[in-house]
Amino acid sequence: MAETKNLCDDAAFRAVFMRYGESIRNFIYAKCNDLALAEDITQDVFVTLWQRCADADPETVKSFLYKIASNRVIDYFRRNKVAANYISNRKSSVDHISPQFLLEEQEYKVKLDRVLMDIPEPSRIVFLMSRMERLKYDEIAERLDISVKAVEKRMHKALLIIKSRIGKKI
Amino acid sequence: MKQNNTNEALLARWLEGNLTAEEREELVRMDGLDELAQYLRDFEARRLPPLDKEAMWRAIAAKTIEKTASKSVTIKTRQPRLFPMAWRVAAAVALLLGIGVWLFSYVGIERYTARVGETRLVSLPDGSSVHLNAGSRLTFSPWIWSQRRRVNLEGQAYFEVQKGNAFSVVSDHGLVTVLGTKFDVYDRDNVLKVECYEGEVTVKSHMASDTITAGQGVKVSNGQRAKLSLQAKRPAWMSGKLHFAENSLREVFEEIERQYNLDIQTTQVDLARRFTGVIPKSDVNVALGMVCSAMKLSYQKTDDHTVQIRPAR
Repeated sequence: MAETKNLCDDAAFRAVFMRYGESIRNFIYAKCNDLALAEDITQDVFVTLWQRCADADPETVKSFLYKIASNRVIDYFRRNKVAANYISNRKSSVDHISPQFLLEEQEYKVKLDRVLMDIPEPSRIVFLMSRMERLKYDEIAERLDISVKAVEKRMHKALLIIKSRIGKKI
Repeated sequence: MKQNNTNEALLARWLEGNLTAEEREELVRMDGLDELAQYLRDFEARRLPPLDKEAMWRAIAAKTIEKTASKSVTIKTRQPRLFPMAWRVAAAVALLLGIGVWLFSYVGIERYTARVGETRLVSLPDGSSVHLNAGSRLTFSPWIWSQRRRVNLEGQAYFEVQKGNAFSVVSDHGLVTVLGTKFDVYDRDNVLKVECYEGEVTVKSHMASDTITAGQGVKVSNGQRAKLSLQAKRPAWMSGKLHFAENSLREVFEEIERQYNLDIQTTQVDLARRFTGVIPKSDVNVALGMVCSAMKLSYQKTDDHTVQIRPAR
């Protein structure tokens, strides 16, 4: 859709942000479960993209962004020695979510989260990209730089775990 | 039973609905699928709040573009940045040809902005016209118009396109292409809506594509697409009234802000509630009054451009 513009151009860079900013934020949120942190890291990701704009190719910028985002989250956890614990980080995220979001029943939310915690990260990420962002499998494959088959396997694994966990009525 | 690879992707394909007869058989024998389906439906509701892109963009621009431009305020796209690298590359390529092509695409850009509270009519080089709604911007390259008819749109505009080459509209979430027709494009926040009033329009968004004809529209929001049936011969916003059909209060107030150049602040108002109705574009008290009485809210103007809205007592 876009002509092959250099990403060091203001308008092109902004367009890339407008297009992928929210997805990147959601992806990071899925990894750290802290909305404010996810938004901060999202900013860093795009600042990094700008610094490396000469290396970036408009055709592959999508997966480039996801790679930068992955690395940034890992850096953050390494520096802060905080385990990527899906539930223990929940306290910090509650303050930053709108009242609407909080209106959902707390108990049930905790139950849903517990189930997700049992899913290993690669599968969980695919599951969240599919269900929260409504991305199709080929779109997820492109962003994560893996095959569609790999996406389907991870999704299947996630669904299998969820199915067995909810069966146990926890 | 043979162990083939599709077993490891079975549930993934179940979700997509893309099953062979063999797989369907296997699923019939599987239990827990109803509970799983229910879990997935419950999960649907857990979307993150939408990203305030403009706010984040300002933060990012402050750390990137504006640092190098050494001037605050908005991003300039008219003057290209002169990186040493670009000069070296341009110089290496045949000078005249290189610079000519470069000038063509960057310097010859026209930009039209309809500010908040105004609409604007833009004429394109081939006689096509664009009506920009308040708070929208249109950019295109007039120099290469005879070869390529393409515009960039932020916000909303109504187009009347002359027959000719493929005409395309690029917006944040979509790509609309036509051959000669009348249509409206709305692309704000996470919602893309295209309405066709004459001819045929192709809308590409989220790796999928729809073709609509006169009287039809398509709305893409958070990855969900819906087909629309149009009631009128022209978009409602061009008629002097604002029409809303099951729009969220957030959308309604944002449109009112744009039309009347206001800043609306809400307290304890559920902005996801839906509003349907027709309000004027030229009388702010009637407009606000109608929305507020329908939604059991009350409004108060705290100064010329600011309105406070809260639930009615």
